[in-house]
Amino acid sequence: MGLSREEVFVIRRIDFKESDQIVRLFGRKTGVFSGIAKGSRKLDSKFGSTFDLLNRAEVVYYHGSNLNFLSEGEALDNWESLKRSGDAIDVGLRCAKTISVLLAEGQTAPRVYDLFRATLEELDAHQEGPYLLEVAFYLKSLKYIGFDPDFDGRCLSCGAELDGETSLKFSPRAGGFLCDECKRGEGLKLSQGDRKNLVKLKRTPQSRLRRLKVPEEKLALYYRLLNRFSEYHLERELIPRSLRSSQGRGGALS
Amino acid sequence: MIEPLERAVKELKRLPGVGQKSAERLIFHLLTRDEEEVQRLSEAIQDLSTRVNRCEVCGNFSIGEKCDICSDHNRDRSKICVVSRPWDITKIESTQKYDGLYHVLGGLINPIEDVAPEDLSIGKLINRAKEEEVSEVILALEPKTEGESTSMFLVKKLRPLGVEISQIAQGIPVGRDLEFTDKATLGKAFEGRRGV
Repeated sequence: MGLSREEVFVIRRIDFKESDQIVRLFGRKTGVFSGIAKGSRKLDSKFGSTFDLLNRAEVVYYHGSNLNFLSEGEALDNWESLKRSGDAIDVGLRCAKTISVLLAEGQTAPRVYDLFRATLEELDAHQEGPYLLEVAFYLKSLKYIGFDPDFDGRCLSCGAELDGETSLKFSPRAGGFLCDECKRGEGLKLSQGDRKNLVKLKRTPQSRLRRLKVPEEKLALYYRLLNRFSEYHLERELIPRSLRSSQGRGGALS
Repeated sequence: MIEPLERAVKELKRLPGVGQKSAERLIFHLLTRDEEEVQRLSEAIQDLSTRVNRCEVCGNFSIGEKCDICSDHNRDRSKICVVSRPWDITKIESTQKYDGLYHVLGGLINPIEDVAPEDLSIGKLINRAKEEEVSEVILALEPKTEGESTSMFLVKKLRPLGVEISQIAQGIPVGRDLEFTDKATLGKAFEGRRGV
């Protein structure tokens, strides 16, 4: 039985038996994997609060055929400031859910790991306006796992320049914009401003996103676009229950 | 295994924490007991589905429409303690430190498990806080990420009603050494320190 030590994020946990938990972890090296933390719900558990959702932790575990056995764990970051904001918690949890949706057990994605860490760090540093970070997280995650929607100013079908057009159509099927000739009624209507916003959201590091000014109703539109794209190419929504903010502070996102 | 045994094992295995071996052990034990004892157990289990309801006011387990606590006029009706699950009430009652009413949410907001505020008994709580003579709402939700998120949501909804909102203390369990306390718990204990 091999023994491993790894830095992970806690992205899901399920109560199991009287005092155990099955936790889904996301490591930079190992990707998504699950393990059982025996007795971790007990007050005097050696794990303490290690497996609180979103925590970054160092864990030691034995490899099992189905489930790994967690033998040690210590929280490295528990995002104290983030956890004082309901909106920031919701965004963090939805991003964690997206990791589970996008990645299969054992699939490694170090760039998604770094992105998730950068997103939580930013949410911990500044709790206001977290939805920009959330939409950028979805955009970049899709890109890092190989499903990169194209927001270039050309028609994906015929290559025609789209700069002159004020109204654009994003085709989830094509994964990008189509010109008037090629669109045949399909797709989501966007403006050139939206296209530029999406390019910026994809390119700007999470730590510098706060400088961008994007209205919340626009973020809701971009989320719908990404969800449609994900439904077509991955056959699943990014988040089954849409971008509705459970904190109810999401304005147009709610 | 003969059919009745197989069926009983199969049903027991549906319970949390009961696997094939535990289920078989329990069934073989029951087969050694006299018929009357097994009948009593069977009736007790049957009663769970036929006699136990959820209190229409607070969501606690009850025999009638209202639970014993909601029906008790000696309880302090100006306080509502909010818990996520009915069995948390039993635990709080065992402390004998609280004599107010309760409200069971039925879970915690958690986007990972697809639990949204509409899935919980939050609207009912807001109505109770509006309509009844409530002056304080005590949040007794689990001190974990989902619990914090739910507490903050409730604070946002309850604050405009003018009721006092408090949260049970968080920190080091009684009888435990500081040495073995994790930093998040210790941090909460310091934040919540009080004058002596």
